[in-house]
Amino acid sequence: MKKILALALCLCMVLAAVPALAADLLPAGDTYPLKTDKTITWYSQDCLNPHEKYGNWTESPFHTNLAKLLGVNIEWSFPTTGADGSSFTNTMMADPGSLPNIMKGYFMDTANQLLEDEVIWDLTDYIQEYAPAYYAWLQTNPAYDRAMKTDDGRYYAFGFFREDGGWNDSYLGPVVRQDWLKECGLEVPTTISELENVIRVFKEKYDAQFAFANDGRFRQAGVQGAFGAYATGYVASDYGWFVKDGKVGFGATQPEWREYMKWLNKMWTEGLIDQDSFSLDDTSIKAKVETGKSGVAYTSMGQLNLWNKDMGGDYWIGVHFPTADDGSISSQFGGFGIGTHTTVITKTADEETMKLCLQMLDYAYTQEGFLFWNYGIEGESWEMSAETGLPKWTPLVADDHDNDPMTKYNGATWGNSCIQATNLLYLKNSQTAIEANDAFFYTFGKDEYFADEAVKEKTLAVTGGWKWPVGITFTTDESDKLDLLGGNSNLNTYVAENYAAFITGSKDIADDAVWEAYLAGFDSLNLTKILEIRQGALDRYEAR
Amino acid sequence: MSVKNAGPIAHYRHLNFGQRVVRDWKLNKWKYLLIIPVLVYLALFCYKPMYGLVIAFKNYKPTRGIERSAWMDPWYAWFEKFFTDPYFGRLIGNTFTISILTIVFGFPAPILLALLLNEINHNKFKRTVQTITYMPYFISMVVTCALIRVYCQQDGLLSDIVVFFGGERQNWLMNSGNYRTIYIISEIWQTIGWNSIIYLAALSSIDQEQYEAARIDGANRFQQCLHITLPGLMPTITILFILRMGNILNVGYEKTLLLYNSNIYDVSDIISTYTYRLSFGGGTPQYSYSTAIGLFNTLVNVVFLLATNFISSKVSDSSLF
Amino acid sequence: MSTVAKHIPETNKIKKTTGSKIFDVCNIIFMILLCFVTLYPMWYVLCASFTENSYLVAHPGAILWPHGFTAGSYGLAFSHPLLLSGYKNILIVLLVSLPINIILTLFCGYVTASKNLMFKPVIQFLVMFTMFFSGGMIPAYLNVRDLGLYNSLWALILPGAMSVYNSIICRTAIQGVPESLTESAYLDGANDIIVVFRIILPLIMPTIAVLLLYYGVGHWNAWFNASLYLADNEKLPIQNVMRSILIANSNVLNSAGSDNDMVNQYAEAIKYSTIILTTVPVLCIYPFLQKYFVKGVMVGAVKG
Repeated sequence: MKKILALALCLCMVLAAVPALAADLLPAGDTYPLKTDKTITWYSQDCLNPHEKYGNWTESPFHTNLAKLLGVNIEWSFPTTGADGSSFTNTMMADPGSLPNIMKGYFMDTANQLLEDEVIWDLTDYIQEYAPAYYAWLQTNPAYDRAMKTDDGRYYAFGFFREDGGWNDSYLGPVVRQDWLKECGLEVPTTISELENVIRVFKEKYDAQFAFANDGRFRQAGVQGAFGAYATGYVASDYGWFVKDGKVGFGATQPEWREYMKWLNKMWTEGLIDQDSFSLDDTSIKAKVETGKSGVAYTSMGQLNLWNKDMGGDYWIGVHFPTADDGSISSQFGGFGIGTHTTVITKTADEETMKLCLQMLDYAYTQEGFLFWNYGIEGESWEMSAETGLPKWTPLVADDHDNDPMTKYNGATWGNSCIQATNLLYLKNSQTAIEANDAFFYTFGKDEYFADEAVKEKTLAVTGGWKWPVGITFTTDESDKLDLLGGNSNLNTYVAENYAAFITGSKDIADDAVWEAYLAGFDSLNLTKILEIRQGALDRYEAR
Repeated sequence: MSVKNAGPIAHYRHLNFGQRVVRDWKLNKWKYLLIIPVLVYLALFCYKPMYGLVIAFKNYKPTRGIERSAWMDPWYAWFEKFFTDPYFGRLIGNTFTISILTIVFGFPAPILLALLLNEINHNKFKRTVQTITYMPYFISMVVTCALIRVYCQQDGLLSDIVVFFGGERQNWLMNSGNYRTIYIISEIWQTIGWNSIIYLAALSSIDQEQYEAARIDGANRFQQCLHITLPGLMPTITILFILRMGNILNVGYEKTLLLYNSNIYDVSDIISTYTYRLSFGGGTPQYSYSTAIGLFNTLVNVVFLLATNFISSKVSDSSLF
Repeated sequence: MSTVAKHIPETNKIKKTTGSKIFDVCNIIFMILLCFVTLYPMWYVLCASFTENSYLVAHPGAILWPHGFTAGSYGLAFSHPLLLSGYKNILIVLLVSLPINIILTLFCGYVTASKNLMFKPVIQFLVMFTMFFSGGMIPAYLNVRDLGLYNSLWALILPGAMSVYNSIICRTAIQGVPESLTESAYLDGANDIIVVFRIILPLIMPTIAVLLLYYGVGHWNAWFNASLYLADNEKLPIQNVMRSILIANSNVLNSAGSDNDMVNQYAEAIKYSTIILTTVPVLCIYPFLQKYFVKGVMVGAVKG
């Protein structure tokens, strides 16, 4: 524990260099508690479930404390454990008359229709009066404001924002066994050739392969950036699309993507990629890496942390996303620091209740609320560190050996209606994990990022800039058309299947005829029409 | 298991409809009372939700409800979409192939097991075998498939065995050529013991005197099996076969979803996994489209059921209705 | 011919020919092989659940016995707050469901098996039709909400109160009961309820045992409906709890990233111990019901 505290301390000092903390920008929340005897029902799809140690939310400090601080009775509901969150929400939506008052989930795609059908409240006329802190926060950054309303400027949702502006959105990336690097006298790889060389040497010396957990991780965004490609074809979660110079593109049809596939195919046929990679998940890949069957992998900072913990040392480190040999890189895993999940107020709340809900949600964007959502109650789970002037855990959290003990007291996990403090991420993760995240995000160097505005811009362009923006809404008419055209589902199947076939060589990617036939296949999937609709939605978004 | 109901009202031709109803009520009052709870159940939990099938002809949005969702124009738009879907041919092909392979290999397996078990004289051994072979059925699908995946990985059990015999390590589920074999064998593993129960139960109701008579006539065990046991099982086999045919397109999505990966979509993607992905595969769920596909699926099943039933009633005199 | 063997073992043995003996040997060898193939994966699971996690991680292939015996993963599984409530809930569901299942199935089987019923074709059609058409997930969900069953265990019991497939099995069994038995009961002045419970039910006990198993296993393994119809974790049956244990370990939440990574020193072994915990109870029940099949109640009754 001492070690972690010490770590936290030095990290906080590092952080102190970062100016203008969100907390300083936020207004004070002195209107709380609200003192009402109303009971508000609040549903949250993922990431706000009570900690696994608790049977239900009535035992959870965060949920009960929030009600106390707000002065409102809250009745929480969540998808049942083990149920798929989005299907649970979708089924709930089938009965609009009995929805909870406040709901958190993925509503961006359908926001227009939800407003039209009067399922959720249009907050535009109320937001300034009843959620001043949130409104003020949105005005601090035009990107935030744009993401949280519809094309015609209607506010409908409370979003999730990272104080770090996207640093932790790059929580995935390439990782390498550093002890092996040393043993082999190799440098930390920065270009794709260097990375390939490391994989080769490891294969020769340790019979270890490159391993990745396919569906959840590598296919969203892999190392395609080194080839000038933009997206790898995980269409289901909008990773298949990219935006370049205001134009929407589809990742898996670019010639650069073909080059990327050729490289992966070469690696596969030479036995450099683990054959299980297409069916690995986080648990099974763990088995590979911890037993020396892999020396180069692709994973999240949290998993990396876990591997090192299991292996008893800092064996694995995160490295930069590989660039082309000339140092250029087009895209990598990353984001804007804005969550795609939002919190809405449904029409089961009458106007008065809706105003109350606004005030309740606004709390998270006040100074007090920011601290509570991130750290819990002062003196209970956290106290101010004299050295850094930033919060740190009390022994209640620091000495708790359960998984992620802080989630018993705080609520600032991904997607919830709040601002996630960067300090919280530093407190939560180990030094190696933080360094890994740094390596993933600061592709052109960390010092350079802060010193040189051009490098900062370049970094942001590579990490989040190419992505399909958060907060785009389709009109009801557009969603209907997309449904009929087959939408993401068919494209995803087609790309996933060919992606695998190209890599394993069951389809020869080098053969031009095969490539042409593959491209021709997109005609029957209506790619052109889908791109048109998406372009329209993007243009309206840009014009907001 | 007889069958072909003698026309129940044949004897009362001279009565008019009302009189026949009264007479029927007097005779069968209790039977009608018995069926009431069943009909209430069916009405509440089967027929009432069945109205939901109309969403196959609508553009259903959950928040709008069934009534307020707009009708499709033309009404068959979702069906048209399915028939012109680039994956239509492959989905139908895979579904039929897997289903037919399962029937060809999976359907006779429990019958064979029941017959073989029936030939074992040692009762304790027989019971032990029975008890052991039924077990896999109680292991849920999630668990079974997780095990299959563990055994099929690059360093798994299957590779261990193959390497022992001089073969190469590979991930067995990455290769389209292996998938169907793995699917069918595991299917048999899961169900052989369990499905044989019904046959064993039927075997126990075969009149034992027939065997004694056959033995006196000098029939050997094979002949006894052929002439007494099999015919005794035939009605059960027929009914189960008809029911199985009525499910020809119902290949379970759970197992496929848990086993397949994108590299073997070409042999493993089936109608039900496709509709599953439409509803739960990320993005906005397309309930209407998947309902339309489901309805098509059902219709095909019914056609097969009726056809099998018809053929069976002509050939063997036992049928479902 | 097991039952024959029981009655007249001597005659059977004397008459065995060489071919018959060879067949017996092959048959027994085949059965032993079959048992091995069936048992090994379960043995694997049992061994794996007691094996040290590190060994399991390094050697996912053949396991013949536990390596580095530890029961730690069981302790971890049991410390899951929902495991006991999961067991309790599924027991409630089973205790309430099974009688309802059997009674409805018996009634349905009996009426559809009986002859000379003027409206039988209509009834038969109404019953069979539901086997092939259903409203689908959303209408079923709305129906459950309409009827006020949402978030109550009744939502797991009532919608599946009778399976038409099982009622056909039951009908088939009832058709096998000699008509003379029911006729004579009628002559003694019995009504159909008495006939069903006093005459039919005892005679088709083996079938009922099979049906009990069909329904019971169905309830035990079901999880999908519970995941949609229930809102409180305390109401979830065991399979859903198990799924959450298994899923929490594999952590597939896409964008949640590092926030949801679980630290677990028994990550692999716990999967196997939960499998044992959820499978063993069912495996224990079967031998009790199995007696019915072996006894051949039906044969005795027909003869007597």
